[in-house]
Amino acid sequence: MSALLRIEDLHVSYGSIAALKGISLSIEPNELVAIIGPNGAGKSTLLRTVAGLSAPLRGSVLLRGASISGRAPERLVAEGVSLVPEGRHIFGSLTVEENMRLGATTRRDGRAAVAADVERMLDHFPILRQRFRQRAGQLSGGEQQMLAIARALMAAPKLLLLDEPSLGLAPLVVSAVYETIGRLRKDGLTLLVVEQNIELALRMADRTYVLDTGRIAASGRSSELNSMANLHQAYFGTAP
Amino acid sequence: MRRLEYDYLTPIILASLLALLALAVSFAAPTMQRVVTEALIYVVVVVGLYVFSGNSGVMSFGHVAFMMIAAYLSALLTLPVQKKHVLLSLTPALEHLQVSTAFSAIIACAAVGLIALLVGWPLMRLRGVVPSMATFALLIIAHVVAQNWKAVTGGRQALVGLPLDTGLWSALGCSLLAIGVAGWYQQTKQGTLLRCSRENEVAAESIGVDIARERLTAFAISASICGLGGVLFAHFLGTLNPNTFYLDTTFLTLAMLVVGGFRSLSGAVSGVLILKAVSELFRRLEEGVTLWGTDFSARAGMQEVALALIMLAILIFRPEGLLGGAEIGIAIKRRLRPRSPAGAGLQ
Amino acid sequence: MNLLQTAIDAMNLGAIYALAALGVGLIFSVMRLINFAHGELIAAVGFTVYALDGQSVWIRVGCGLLAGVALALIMERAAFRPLRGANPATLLVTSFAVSYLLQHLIVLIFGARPIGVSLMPELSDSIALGDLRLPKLEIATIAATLTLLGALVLFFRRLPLGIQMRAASEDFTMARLVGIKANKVIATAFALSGALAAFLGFYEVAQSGTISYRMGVDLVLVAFVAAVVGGMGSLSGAALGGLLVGVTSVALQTFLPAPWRPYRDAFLFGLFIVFLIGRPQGLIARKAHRERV
Repeated sequence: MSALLRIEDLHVSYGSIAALKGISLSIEPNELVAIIGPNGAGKSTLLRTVAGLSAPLRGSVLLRGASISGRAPERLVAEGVSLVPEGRHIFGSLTVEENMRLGATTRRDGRAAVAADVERMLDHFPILRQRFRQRAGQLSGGEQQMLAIARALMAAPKLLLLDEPSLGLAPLVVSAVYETIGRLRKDGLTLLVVEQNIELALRMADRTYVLDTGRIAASGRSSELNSMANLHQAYFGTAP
Repeated sequence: MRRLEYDYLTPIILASLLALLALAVSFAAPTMQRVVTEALIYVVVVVGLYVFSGNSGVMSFGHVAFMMIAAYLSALLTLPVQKKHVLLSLTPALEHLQVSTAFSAIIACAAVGLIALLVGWPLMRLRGVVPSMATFALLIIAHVVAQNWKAVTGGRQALVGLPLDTGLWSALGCSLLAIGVAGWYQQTKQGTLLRCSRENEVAAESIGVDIARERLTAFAISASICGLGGVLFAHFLGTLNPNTFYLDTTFLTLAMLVVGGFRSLSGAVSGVLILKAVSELFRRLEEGVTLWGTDFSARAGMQEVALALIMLAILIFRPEGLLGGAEIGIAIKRRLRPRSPAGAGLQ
Repeated sequence: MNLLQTAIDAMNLGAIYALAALGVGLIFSVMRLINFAHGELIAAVGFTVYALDGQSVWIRVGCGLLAGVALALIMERAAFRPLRGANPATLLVTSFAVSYLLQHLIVLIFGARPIGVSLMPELSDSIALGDLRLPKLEIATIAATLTLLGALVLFFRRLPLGIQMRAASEDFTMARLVGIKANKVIATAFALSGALAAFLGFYEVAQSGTISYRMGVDLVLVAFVAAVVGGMGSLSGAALGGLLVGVTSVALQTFLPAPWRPYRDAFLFGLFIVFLIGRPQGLIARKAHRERV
């Protein structure tokens, strides 16, 4: 089994509050795995822990078999793990160009390669080409989301973590974003996506995990989970 | 719904501790008594500082300004008329006014409380580190005014001849009073709401806490208590100059609050006792001590360096202070009572 | 003519305060730490220059610069790194403690009395231009400040490290998530801050001819005022704030009636409080400092 990411019995707490209580999952290369679940289930915590922002209490996070738990986020970017957190978080006072170039901070393969990737990103997200020299803070919500993803991709990650990429975006924009993600998967990208939009998640993902109060309530191929009974159980705790 | 238990035990324990200390030292040499008297005065000041900073979470650098103002007010009211005539230039009415030290203390504390209300009112709605910076500005303003208003304060020259009315028992009495007021205030509804805002400003606001008003109340009470400390100091030292109450005192009192733990009254008091003991130790060392036949003597500056290092160690390794925000009374109750499922109440 | 004289004094003071405000603003922007100990960086440089009395100017200035940067980095590593992410009140009090510690270390080593030092005495006289007296030191200061500011602007706009620092000062966590090294950015901020402090140290020595353990205190207090006025977290704000405070200070000194002049600083800090009430976020407001819900 050559899982790209494997999480085993992960426990994460904020002070005395246990956010994740024994999560185990795995992601194969080139998969798109979705995480869904009610608010407060620990979905963001899971992504943040994988990205290195929180250190687990117990359990392990393995990237290509090697443990990465407790590593600093900036090192994990260099190792190929990029997180686009919830809420876009682009650097508003910097230009679109500066934002994108910052994404390539950890790359060692030379200016030509980075410049080529900038071009590629601008092809994927044409709107950014128009706004290339503008302050990122002036972009619309959808444009900022594209920029955030483009910036994360500039690091040439192996594993891309997306926290609620459709939040606050118009449906047209959302489909544009996911269309791009689909194209990137063809290039070999692996994705772990937290999504509020259940229908979207089940449609895009190969497999989905349902998280509820820090535990995995259900998991499986999207077709299996489409059964309302499973989802109802996960979200409301009882059979419908 | 179970009522929040009233913590009588903590103020009683702290008061008894200090009373015992005073009693024990009353049989010792006068120098030792002076040390404990000074410690008790610091208890007043740091408890005063705690009432505001500990309950609100807003670090104040201005409490020493209130000490200074109260001290000078008391001096003006208690200095012998002759001295006033020589050192200052006051209106005749003020010059001839002379009251007992106790009465001057009451007037000074009330005045300082009022000043705090006036000055604090626009500041308490500020957020983040800005109110702390504002209190720092208050300290500097008070210092500049004290240094230059020769007619009223004597300027940079020291005011001498204040009646030496602060003794072991008056200091003890005032420290007990301070502890009593602080212990009472933090358990009133207002005090409790203020502590809520300390933990989480946004959450407290969302349940309707008027943070600015609660902070202002605490600020005024705190100023009065610190003022009392200032009056005690003035009548302990017998002299007063603008540098008596400035950056060094600010640092020392903040250190005392932080070392014990700025979130609890017990922390404030224990911080005073610990650091006073350490500073007394170093004072002895500076005078020279003989250990195993050799003479050791600490150089000037070592005491302050040690104090700063202790404070840094606490901040880095135990930022909640030695007591970590615990109150003695509550901790003892927890030990004595078997665990109840309803929990032990708000800490 | 007198007005021109005053204007140059104001610009000189504004330049000094701008550099001081930048020194503290740099660190605040990446760490949310108000570094009280910045004044002791200035003092340390002053004492280094004193300790090397007799050496050539270049050695004294060079070592002074090294001392400022080195002490700033030591401060970061020993006192502030363990406290990264702590709440602002704790950080504030910690920097106060570091300041106190360094001051009294100086007392321990050099004693508490001010010591006379001379640095670049050739700058102590003035150029005469008609009625004007232009102190050479002031001219040199203004020129040097403009150069330093220009270099900093270039650094932040062109160099990758500078751009990284701008990103980190806007959103530190996100900066780490794109791979910007937290330690490198913070260390750079401290190093730059130390370099700026060094320059202020040289100025203080050249201007007053004395050093003492408290020589940095007054300057750093004004630096905070300037940084807050300009807008904490904004570097152009710090420079602007410094200029504004410098001009205000000189204006107060010039236009206050004579009996009130000794209270100049009281007025300055009083105006500061009024400013805080009206515009606490500073002139160049950055993102809200409030926690996000």
